[in-house]
This record gives sequence, C-alpha cells and structure tokens, in this order.
Amino acid sequence: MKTNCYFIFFFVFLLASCTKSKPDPENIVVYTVVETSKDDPEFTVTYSTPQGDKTDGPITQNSWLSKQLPTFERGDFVALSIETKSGTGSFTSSVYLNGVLVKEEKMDFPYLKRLEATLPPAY
Amino acid sequence: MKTLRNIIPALLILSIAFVSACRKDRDDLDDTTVASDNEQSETFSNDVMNIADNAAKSGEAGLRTSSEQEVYEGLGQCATITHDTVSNPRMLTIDFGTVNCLCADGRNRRGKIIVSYTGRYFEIGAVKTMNFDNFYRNDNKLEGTRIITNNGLDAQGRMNWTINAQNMKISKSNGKMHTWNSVRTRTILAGNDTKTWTDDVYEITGSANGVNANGNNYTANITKPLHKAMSCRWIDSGTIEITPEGRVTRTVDFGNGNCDDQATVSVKKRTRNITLN
Repeated sequence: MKTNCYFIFFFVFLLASCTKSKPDPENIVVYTVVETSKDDPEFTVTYSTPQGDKTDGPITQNSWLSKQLPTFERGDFVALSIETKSGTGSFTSSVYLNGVLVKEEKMDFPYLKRLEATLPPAY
Repeated sequence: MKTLRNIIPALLILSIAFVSACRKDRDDLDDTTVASDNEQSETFSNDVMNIADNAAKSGEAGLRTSSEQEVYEGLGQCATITHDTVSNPRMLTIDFGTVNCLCADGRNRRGKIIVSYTGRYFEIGAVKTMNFDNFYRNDNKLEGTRIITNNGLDAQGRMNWTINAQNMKISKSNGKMHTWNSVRTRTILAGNDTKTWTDDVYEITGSANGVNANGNNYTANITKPLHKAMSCRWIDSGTIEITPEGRVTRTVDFGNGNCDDQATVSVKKRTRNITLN
C-alpha cells in the first residue's frame, strides 16, 4: 500500500513537471512623434530599444511611428529625445505599451524635453 | 417492364435537374459582374487613397508623405495641389483639371479630390475626409465620401485606421453604375518607420454592401485579410466572399502574395481567372 502511494505521488509529480509553463506575454513598445506646428522641421529621434539607444533620421515627415519593439521587460526605463536638424517646430511624443499610452510629452523648440517613462507592471 | 417504364422518366427528370444545376453554377461563374465591380471599387478606393496620401510633401499636409523621387505614379505631373493650412480642418485639393490627363501609371484622370483633415497621418484620433468633384479615372466617375479615422495602436502595437465609405458610386463609361457602402480596417504591417511610402505594407479587413452594375444587391465580406504592399499596384493576397441577392456566394481570391494582376473567382467547385484593373 505504501509503495503504491509513493508511486502515485511520483506519477503526479511527473505529470505536474511536464505541464508546460506559459511564456511571459510580449511587452511591445511603440513610440510616436507628431509635429504640431506649421513649421517644416527636419529632425532626428533617439529612443530606447531593448538592445540600447537607436537614432532614426533625419525625418522630414510631420509624423513618425517607430517599429514595434517586442522584447522589453515590465519596469524597464524608456526614453525618447528629439534633435532638430533644420527649422524649428513643436512636437508631441508618446510611448505606448501593448497599444496603451504610457506617457506623452509636449516638446517646443528650443526646449525639447526628453520623454521619459518606466514601463508599468502587469495588472 | 413496368418498373423500367417508371425508372426512365425518373432518370430523365434527375438528368434535367442535374444539368440545370450545373448550368446554374456555370451561369453564376460566367456572371462575374459583381466580382469585377467589387474589385474595381477596391482598386479605385486604394488609388484615391494613395493619391491623397502622396499629394503633399512633408510638412505640408498631415498625410503619409514621400520624397520627391517617390511621387505616386497616379499623381505624376497631372495634378495641381492646393493646401489650405489656415482653415480648420485643413484642406488639400488635388486638381487634375477638367480634361483627361494621362498619368504616369497609364490611366487618365480628371476632376478634383478634396481632402479635409484634422491631424497628421500617425496622429491618433486624426480624421481625414475625402470627397470628389467630377473626379474620373479612365472615364469612370467616382462619387461619395470616405472618412478615415486613426484608431491608434492595437495590442500588437500596429497602427490602424477605420475607413468608412459612404454613398460611394462609380458611374461607368458604358452608362452603368455601381454603388456601395463599406467599413474597412486598414492596419499598417511594415514600413511605417521609414520615410519612404513604397515599403509600406497594409492589411485590410471589413465588409461592404451595394448594388452592382446589373442592378443586383450584394454583400461582400473579407474572409482572409487583403494584403496590400505599396510597392505593388494590386492586392496580392486575401479573399473576399461576395453574395449577390438570391444567388450563390462567390469567392474572389487575390493569390498567394505574388505581385500580379491575376485573381480567381470561384463558385462552388468551379473557378475562373480574372484580370485586375
């Protein structure tokens, strides 16, 4: 009887260990920059990626959308800064996590504040 | 003998029913009006959207912009673009003139596309409204209103827009007309982070209903998302199921991703090739 119990416990343990653990959901970060004045500035954007900072530009469009950046962790610090190459301008920059706005920052030339945010924990 | 006498008429009736059913399938397949009308509305709609998105250069309009070297071939040297940045919402008028102008894509255009917009292309919540003033493409007249709303990002971080096409009408050069209403969602899959628009790739879903050129009502549902790479003139994959009132559903299949002007229309087990506009 005792042997049978041990066997059952062992079997249940084996089954439990075989259950595949759910992978963590991806945390997809996307940045946007929208030029809000009537100026025609040329600018570059530097932003955090899981692999380090990346710079895109010069950008001549009046709105910009980053690629989807899928390998961030909750609690990561993210930042975006804009540097105008020619012209002036006002911008609204935003960072989204899984499609939800994390932070928005208004940036007016020449005081182009950095957008900074910490990715919120999962709820 | 008596049994045989009973069987022969029964067989005859069965054969007639069978042949008639086959004939009906073939007739349904031969009548590709609804499929080609729907396809024409798809390409016409994509065309005017591309024209509007590329009409203005950076800083001038809140649309998807391009460099000078990448002006959409449908725009070419044909259009005069007027941009009113003072009015609210801002207005963009793309005027092809009152007589046909042969554009770089080999299509004639005349008339105006009038776009009003409240924000930039990638600005969430921005609304763009398109109307047409005596606008013709290859002598087919387009009327109606297209309202394009930026919905923001989905959970995968992909930006998408709802395109509400209201009271759309194509009056064909042969005197026939096709009318429709549709609601579509257009999601950008790639190319959004580059300044060139030719590497943009979109996925389109949604449904439509209308009256085809033969006067028959129909409904159309995208059953496999349509794939539109801006580097290709045609939709290169996806399927639409179109059901004309009182008739069987036909499936338009745009292929498996090859950029070509070929698609198929299937009714039950029969399939026919069509050439896209």
